[in-house]
Amino acid sequence: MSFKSIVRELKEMRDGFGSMSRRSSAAEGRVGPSRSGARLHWHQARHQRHAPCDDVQESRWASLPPELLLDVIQRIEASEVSWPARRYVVACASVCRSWRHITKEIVQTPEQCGRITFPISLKQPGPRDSPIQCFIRRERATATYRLYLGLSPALQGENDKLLLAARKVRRATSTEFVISLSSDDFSRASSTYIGKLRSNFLGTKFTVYDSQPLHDAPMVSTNRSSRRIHSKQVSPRVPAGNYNVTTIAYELNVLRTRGPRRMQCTMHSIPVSSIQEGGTAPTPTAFINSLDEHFSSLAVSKGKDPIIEFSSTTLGEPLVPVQTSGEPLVLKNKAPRWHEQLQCWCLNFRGRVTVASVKNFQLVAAVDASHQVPPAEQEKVILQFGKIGKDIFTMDYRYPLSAFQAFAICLSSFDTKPACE
Amino acid sequence: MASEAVAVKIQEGVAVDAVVPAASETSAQRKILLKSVEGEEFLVDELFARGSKMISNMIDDGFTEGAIPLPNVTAPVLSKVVEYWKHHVGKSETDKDAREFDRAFVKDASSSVLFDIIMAANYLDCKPLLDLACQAVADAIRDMNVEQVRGFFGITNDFTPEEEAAVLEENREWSNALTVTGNGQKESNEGGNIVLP
Repeated sequence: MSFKSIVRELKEMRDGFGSMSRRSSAAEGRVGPSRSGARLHWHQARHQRHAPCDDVQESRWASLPPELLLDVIQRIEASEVSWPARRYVVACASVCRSWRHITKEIVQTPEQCGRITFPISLKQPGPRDSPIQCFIRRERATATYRLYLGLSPALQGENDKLLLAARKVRRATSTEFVISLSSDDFSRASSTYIGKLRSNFLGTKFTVYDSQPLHDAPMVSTNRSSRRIHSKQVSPRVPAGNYNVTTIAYELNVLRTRGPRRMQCTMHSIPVSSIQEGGTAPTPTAFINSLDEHFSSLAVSKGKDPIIEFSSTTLGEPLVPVQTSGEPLVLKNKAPRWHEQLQCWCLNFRGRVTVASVKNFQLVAAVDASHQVPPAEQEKVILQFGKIGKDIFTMDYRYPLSAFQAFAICLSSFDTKPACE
Repeated sequence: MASEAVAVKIQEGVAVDAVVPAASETSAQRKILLKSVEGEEFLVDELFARGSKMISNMIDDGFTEGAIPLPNVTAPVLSKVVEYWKHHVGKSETDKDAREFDRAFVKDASSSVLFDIIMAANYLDCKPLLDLACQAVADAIRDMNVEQVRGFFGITNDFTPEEEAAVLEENREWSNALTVTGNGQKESNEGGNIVLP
């Protein structure tokens, strides 16, 4: 592109009036044939006239009408759908406040478009129609578990997008998995701290803690243009705490070690209504106390301001479970069928799980007729987890779970003790 | 530059009546007179001129005599727009010549000319040309880092220091969080395109 070479040359000028050859700094993803010949003449003439920062030419773009700027940013968002290219969309949100506002307005939630864009996407429900496919890599030496976006580890040389990382910490009476955005920072005081999973002594019950409470009331509808209901910013500032969002219970199979174990997840933060006709699941739009929380309050917001009650907490102390309105959604693992010929328990993982393991599971909604959940919804596998190789596992999740909740639930499968196996 | 075969520049002072087409001619043969902001006049086949919805509406509203003034478009830009119409109007979307023209059209455009094209296409309501130009801008800024984008658009960084730090972290940590190798070393694209300087 001609601009690319223009801008590159300008940058070189800023960097110290280097030669007009192509920049020697790290290779770009897109490299086109050198066109510096024709540009050279024009560029040199400009260089003589004024310093790059005062370039009159470029400031004309400042008067680009907002609807055209929106069009340009929309094009970038629409074309860069997969990682690592999706980071160009995140970059658009880094230019200035209005660009951030525009970009955040354009980007849809994972539920709406099936794509992960900003970190907050990890706390938003997945798509309804088909799951988001991820994989988990276990590193035994450091007891670290890393969640990546993608079907399975890419071929060497390509880069998979890291979503979350967890580190297992054994304590006297429990085990904890600290979950973070960063794969080398597991400090609970850090801004990258997302939540944690704690097990009981026996490894039969687990609690998932979110670092932040429910911020938004459930969205009115899944229509993109629907107004969002924001809760008033709680004052004083919400401390990073631990909010119980899920309880996971493992039970021995009646046949003890020879049969599959039973799993039940009580989603305190997701109501059963989320999978009923027309239901929605809580969808935070920003991390509390983040710069985006400030921006979202700039958007037109009307409606109720539910204040969420909580008691102040010091780090590490569990709180009263965050209760949504209505009965919480309960997930249970789909019972495998006994395959007489193969003499084993079988679940249809549709090719996403290839190694038999007691850790493998599929979670569906545990509902009965009184819940009035459409049959199609009852059938859906909301979370699927299983082994595909040494220390590699796939994780597929969908609405109403978020990536964070799904990851936390899967981590519990790594820690169950022989009592459950 | 304008192709002489299509747009004929007319000297000031020539009686306009002489070139107004007779009403009986079909629109394919009829020519429309367009006048740039400098007063330069371009005689364009009506078929091509209708590449602009604005002009098309004016023609339909009965504006067939005299020149249609375009005070928001300069002559060099107008001649480029006419070139575009010549290669696109009446052709199918998958026409190879049109695609080749587009490639060259955008490739050789300086940022200033592209800005003019966008503004002209917006004013004239010529959506395909606007799409082409906006896509060219999107393609260009996709390859820029944040600082370059700001420089290009003349944008001031109006984040507070705290916001700036959060934005930096989002770009650096989240955007570049890619595969970690077995020994814990982080591999990330050293493209330098996204990280703020």
